[in-house]
Amino acid sequence: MSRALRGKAAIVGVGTAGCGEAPGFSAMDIQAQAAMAALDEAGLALGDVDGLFCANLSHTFPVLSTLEYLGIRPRWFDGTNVGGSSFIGHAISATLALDAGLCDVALICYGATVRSDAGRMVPAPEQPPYEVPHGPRYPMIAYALAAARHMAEYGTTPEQLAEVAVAARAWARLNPEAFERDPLGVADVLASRMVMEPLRLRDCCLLTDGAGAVVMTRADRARDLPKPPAYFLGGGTASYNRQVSQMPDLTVTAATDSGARAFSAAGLDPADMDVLQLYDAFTINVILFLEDLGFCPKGEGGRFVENGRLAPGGSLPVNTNGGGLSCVHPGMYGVFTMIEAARQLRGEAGERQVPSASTVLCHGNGGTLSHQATAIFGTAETL
Amino acid sequence: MNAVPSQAGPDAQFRAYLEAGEFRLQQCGDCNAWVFFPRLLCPTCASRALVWRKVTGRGRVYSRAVLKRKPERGGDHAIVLVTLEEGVRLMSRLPTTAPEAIAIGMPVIARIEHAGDDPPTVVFMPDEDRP
Ligand SMILES: [Zn+2]
Repeated sequence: MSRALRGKAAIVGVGTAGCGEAPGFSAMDIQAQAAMAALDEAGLALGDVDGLFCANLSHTFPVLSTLEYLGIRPRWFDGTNVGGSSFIGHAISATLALDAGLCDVALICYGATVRSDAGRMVPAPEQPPYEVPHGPRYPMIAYALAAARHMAEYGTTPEQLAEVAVAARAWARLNPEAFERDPLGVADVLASRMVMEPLRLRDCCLLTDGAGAVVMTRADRARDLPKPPAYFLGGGTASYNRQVSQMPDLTVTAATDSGARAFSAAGLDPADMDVLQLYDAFTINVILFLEDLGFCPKGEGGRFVENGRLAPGGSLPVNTNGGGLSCVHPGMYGVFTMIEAARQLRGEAGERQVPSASTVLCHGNGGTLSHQATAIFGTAETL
Repeated sequence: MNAVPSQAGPDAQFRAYLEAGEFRLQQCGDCNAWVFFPRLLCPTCASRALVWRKVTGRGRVYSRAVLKRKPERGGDHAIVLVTLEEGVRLMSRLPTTAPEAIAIGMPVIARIEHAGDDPPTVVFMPDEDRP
């Protein structure tokens, strides 16, 4: 894999808005607030944005609605929508577009008010015709089926799934922006309502409002901006299917390929990663991604997460903001992995700061275990 | 004999076979791979030489999930993925089997369900003839 994009661009500003509940505001309202916050951090103005990267579940043409609301006239657009992983793909294509001179300031943004609107995930307008007659509930069905298969094949236990939720909550308790901050133990997770066997309520991500934005520039410009840059070191994407019933092996995701591509592009290995941000729509996701990204062998993910390994004080900090399980999950979560990555790399994460974090891996999942995207960011000393 | 309109697309052909009481899937004439969902090319080798053939209907439960519902909302609802002997996998149900009696790995056999005005679907029941 080419290292041509390594260090070519960096995250220079991040922002969030409306995380939790934003009654009375639209998705476009809070997305604009997040974008302005990210640009303010970067010392840039809205008029500087000439590359726009958006995906969402609420608008037919997210890029067009966003540029119109913001009153900007970009010269480069990427509205690739492959689910919640889209934004990590956008960071890769933003780096490519910046490096090629197709744009100078890239804005990647997302906003949704799913909690205030409906209180549930709005299903995609088009659903798999050979699955729907059997009454699946999307997206959860995919993760319940994957968890059940992983448990049958590898002996993964409900307690091990619970460890993932408990670690996320322990991080959330250190993050004033997190939505759920009450104490949570393994017994609490196991006592929560069974929603779709084998997954319980606390195995499932939150459903909140929220918006996130990331601003990227070329590395030479990033050095002169106010915040320490979070350099793009490498990224990769992969997908084999859209429907969960078409997934070749429910226990192996396309993260095996997206991760290998990202590590190769960055010239780094799993052992070089200080912090991970893994899209945790459900607890099983984290176990699958730890295996598929190479942090433990296939089938060992359940045992790997035991004894608080992912939690504050553990040996592998995962989802230091509290993740989709406890911090924020407005339908699509991918952009928030990069926001937390930048904060960790700057040393701005407060009580939850991982000491001397110099590399962060961000991983996004899209659809129903359908699309996987991985990107690695690092501080100046990793260049 | 010819329940299938000659100009039907693959989805309509699949459905027409089900309506005629036959569970047929496409098989690739070049690489022999079986294909589901119905389409116009073989996703294994890109051949367009697909032939509709009867399948045995025998398979095994590859995974299962149970949507927990109150009795007044229909009760617990089990959904399975079944891998057919031919190698393809599909989402389905075991309408006459209690959710707790459905285990990963158990042998199942297909039948065609006609429910009201809905198009026919392939569902499964335990296959008592196999371990
Ligand atoms: Zn073929």
